[in-house]
Amino acid sequence: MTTQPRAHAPARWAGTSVPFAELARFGGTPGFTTTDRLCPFYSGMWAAGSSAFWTSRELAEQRAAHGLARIPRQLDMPLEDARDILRAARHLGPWLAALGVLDQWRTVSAGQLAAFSGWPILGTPEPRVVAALWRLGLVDRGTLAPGMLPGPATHRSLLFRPSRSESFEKEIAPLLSWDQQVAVTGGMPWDFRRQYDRHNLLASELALRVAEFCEVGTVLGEKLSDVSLLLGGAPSGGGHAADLTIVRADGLRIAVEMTASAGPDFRTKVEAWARLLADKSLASSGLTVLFVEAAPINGQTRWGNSGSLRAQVYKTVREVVRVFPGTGADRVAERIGVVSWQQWFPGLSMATREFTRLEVDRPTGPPKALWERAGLLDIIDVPFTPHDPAAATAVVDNASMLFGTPHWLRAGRRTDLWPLLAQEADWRAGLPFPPPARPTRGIGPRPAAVRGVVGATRPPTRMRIEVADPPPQIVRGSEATRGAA
Amino acid sequence: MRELTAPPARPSGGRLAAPSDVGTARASANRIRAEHLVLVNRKLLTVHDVVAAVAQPGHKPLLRIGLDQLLRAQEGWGQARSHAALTRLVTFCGVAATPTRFRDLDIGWLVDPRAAGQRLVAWLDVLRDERRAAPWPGFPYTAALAALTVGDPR
Repeated sequence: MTTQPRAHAPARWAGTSVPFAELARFGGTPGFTTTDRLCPFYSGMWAAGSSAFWTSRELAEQRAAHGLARIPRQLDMPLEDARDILRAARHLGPWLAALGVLDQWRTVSAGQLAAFSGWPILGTPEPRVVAALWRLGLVDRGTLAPGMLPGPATHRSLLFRPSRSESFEKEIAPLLSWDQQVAVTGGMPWDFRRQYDRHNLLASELALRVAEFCEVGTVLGEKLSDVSLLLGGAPSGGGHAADLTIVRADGLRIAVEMTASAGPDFRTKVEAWARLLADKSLASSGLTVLFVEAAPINGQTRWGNSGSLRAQVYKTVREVVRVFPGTGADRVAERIGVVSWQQWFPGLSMATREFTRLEVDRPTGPPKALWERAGLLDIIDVPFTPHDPAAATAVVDNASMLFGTPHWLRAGRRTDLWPLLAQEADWRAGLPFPPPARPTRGIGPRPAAVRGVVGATRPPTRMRIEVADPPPQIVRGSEATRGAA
Repeated sequence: MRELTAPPARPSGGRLAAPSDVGTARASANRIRAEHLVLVNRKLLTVHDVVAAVAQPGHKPLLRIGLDQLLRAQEGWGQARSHAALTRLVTFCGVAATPTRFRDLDIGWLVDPRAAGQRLVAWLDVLRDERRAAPWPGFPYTAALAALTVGDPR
């Protein structure tokens, strides 16, 4: 006799398991691909809870003064040496990229930092540029189980997050051009809030895996997943935000919420999203929402006493969608998906074919078989006809100006920002140049384009966001990943 | 005694102005520079207006206004603020200049066409006030409101 699944908790479908190494890859950083990085879900990182052990420079000095710690020699550098490292042109690319990733994703491992940024040096043990950032109080260093790791494994489990300090404004902002500041912070203040270690690491890992194995336009971190921003407005600053946003090539936004609990807060969150989807049509906002249940695999249900966490997530979504159904032509149910981490990633170094299509459950069926599967990247399952196609896909181009996005997805058309500054200075007719000193010596008219010995007008090299040789990367669409990454 | 058959030699082939004309020209140039600096101090012109004025005929004397002098003509700008801005400017431009050499930096250096506007781009960036603002409302989810071009930069 087979057990009938409850209406609010469909049987967990099992996808076609396949090792990561056998999936086609759309990019990545050699040496720091998904198969190389530490898995934050299955590697047993969270046996002691969902927080790591963090050390800021201030705390380390305090402990060292009382004999509770010893600052390692590679981290113990004079303040002026740290500043010199940041001023040196050869270090500019790595530290800009590192800050861009940390500001957008909050908490990342050393491997994830290298994967996002494309700078392998950031994933090596104690690079001086990261030590300088720590010395200046910009980043905190985290470990998972101090004292229990073998030496070579230590740097793999090293975590970083923005430090709670004003160092960015004091030490970093004066060094950056406007382009660089936008590339690091997205044009918003530097942010060190919302530091939930396990949650943030899983969100970062999911973003990297989606960027690596799925055909998407871009992925954006929590900072740029603010609801107001997603709807094209100004950031609300501390308001409701998704954990990450996946943008399909046609501009469809998939706001992803990771959850390891299903309490009242979760219901409030689902209601907020459902209300938003009911208010804003898909054609105007391009917004869909995905809830990814990612409870610890050896953990217990954290709230309530009826059924598993997964069942509670499904039940909550079903009930909320019933309250906010939307319109017949634009159903909220078609824009909300639910999936488990284990359905997409059934084991260590394993994924499913369904993951590459972002296949999820949606409450779109009849009452007796409410939950139906749909691929969020499938334009038939989730068709999207925006009112303004160019506006919908602008984010893909704009994301290529941000250091927080995976580096292989930054192939869009970048917008030079200096003309905006020239317009503000009322130099609309062009940059001012003096008339020729000896006009009679000129041969023909001067070219309309501003050109000099350094070529057409561009910001000086030190102000650009492409600050160094492009880091090595895996060719888009390569199938060469069968063990050859 | 041999009679001279050629006129006496004159420096620069005789193209130098008469001393009286030189004095007049110097006074005129000083007056133009002073007028612009006063207008900046009175907030009737911005520093960008003064830099833009060098493109107009008859404003060649403005090329000799020092950048430090121009910045400090603004109300609320002292040596520390001006030197901080100029330090960022020379860092962005890759120029090795110390505060003691800032007097060598003038508008002529800034608008030198051989730099193809790179120094002007750095100047605009250094003097931007709202450094943390997003490039346009709704960035990065919205497109720029208008094509961002100035003159014909390409």
